[in-house]
Amino acid sequence: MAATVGGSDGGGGGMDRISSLPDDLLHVILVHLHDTAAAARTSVLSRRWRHVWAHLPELSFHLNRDVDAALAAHAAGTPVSLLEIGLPTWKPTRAADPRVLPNRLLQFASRRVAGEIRLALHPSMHRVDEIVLPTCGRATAIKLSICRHTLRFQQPHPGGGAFAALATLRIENAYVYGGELEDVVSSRCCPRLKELFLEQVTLMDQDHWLSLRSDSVERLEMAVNVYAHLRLQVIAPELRILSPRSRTLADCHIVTPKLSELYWRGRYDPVRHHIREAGSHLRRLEIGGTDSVEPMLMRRFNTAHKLRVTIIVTQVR
Amino acid sequence: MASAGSGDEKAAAAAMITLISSDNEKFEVTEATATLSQTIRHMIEDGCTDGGVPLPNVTSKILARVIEYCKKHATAAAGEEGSSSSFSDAAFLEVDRAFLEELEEFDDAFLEVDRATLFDLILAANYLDIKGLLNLTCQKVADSVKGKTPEQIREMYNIVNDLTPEEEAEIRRETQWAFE
Repeated sequence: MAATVGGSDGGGGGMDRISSLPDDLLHVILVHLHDTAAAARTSVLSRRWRHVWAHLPELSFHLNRDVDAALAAHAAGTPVSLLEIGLPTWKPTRAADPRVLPNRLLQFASRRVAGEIRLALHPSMHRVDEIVLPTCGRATAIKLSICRHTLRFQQPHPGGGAFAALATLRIENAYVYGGELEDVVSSRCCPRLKELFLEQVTLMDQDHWLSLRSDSVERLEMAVNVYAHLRLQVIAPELRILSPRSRTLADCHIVTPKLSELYWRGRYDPVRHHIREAGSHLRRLEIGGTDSVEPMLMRRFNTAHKLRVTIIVTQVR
Repeated sequence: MASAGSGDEKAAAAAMITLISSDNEKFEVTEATATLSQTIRHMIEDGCTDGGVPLPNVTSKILARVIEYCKKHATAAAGEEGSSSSFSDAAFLEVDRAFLEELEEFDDAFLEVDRATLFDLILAANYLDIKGLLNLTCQKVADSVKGKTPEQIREMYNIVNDLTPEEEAEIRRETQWAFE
């Protein structure tokens, strides 16, 4: 590819092109570092750069930084559309108590983020008692991967609308209390929830019927574990896509009149697994992870625009 | 809000738009290519593209490069609209991957430009509101800064340090968390 080097206006020789860019373009560049600490280090380049980073619309923290100081320095009036926190390892510093850090960050997120919140903890991180998700009225997406910590939800106000703007909630690698989860995803707390992903989520309650009700949710993918057998109720009038990938799904009662895509893993027992109000036609049906095709499920949904069956054959010696 | 009706996709794809650079050079492009620019898309929707679209902020040299980018990526955008399957479809993804790889190679080659051109492309992408091109070019600058000390960045981009040593020390104190 021919690179046109140097024109009459110079190939950049001697000219400081970058500093003459407007702030919003410098923000686009700094956001692409995906590292707010690196962005903040540009504040010593020159007077022009001193406060540029403090108005970044997207913040990403990855290392053992004193994130508290960073958040304090970020300009208070600036709306934050993305707060991304990855805490790979944690060596306690004098500046902050490591055990309160994730929750401190989530408190900041709760106040300031109008957009997406991502928190990913690393296995080697110092254990925290509990991760507490406060109500986040302006967050549109929350993605928490918390490495087998217990996730608690701050009691929402009785008036509701605790997550008034939330459209996507993803919880990975977490222990939760079923009752709290049910409250949080309900239409009272999350009136705009469209997508709910629960990956490797373990219920703390013994013998609990997990009952997920939402008037708005359209997509539900879950790999939920329990110590014994999962008993699941889903009542979701707008649900189109359902993927209940729990190995221990003992009983389920699913009411989804608009269901159009189903990914079913494991056995289907028409006596214990009820999928009500859905028609017999699906846009897509996927069956997998079992050692036998599930004829009963294929009878329940006898037409599918696309059908995929994955058969795992166990070798017999 | 008229000409880009969805029922008339073939006619829309064939429609040609004339773009006029700051140095008065004319470029004929398809509407599909031109509308990667949100700025031009809005002009088309408002019906003010007859007689060509003057772009007083973009030179012919830069506009030619921008059009090259848009042509390549317009084909990609057309492919994306077709399917919106929720679960992964391996065969579909396979085709997709090959195309995405080709696109990535194109982008890498496209970015082989000198710094002045890179900044001109950033300004053009911003003015024309072409999100993909803006992200691509800004990522290139971000990558060049990554892992560099402030001194190295200053040298690379000819930034004159107008801070007094006292001011610089103060800023370093304020942002100590970022230097640890």
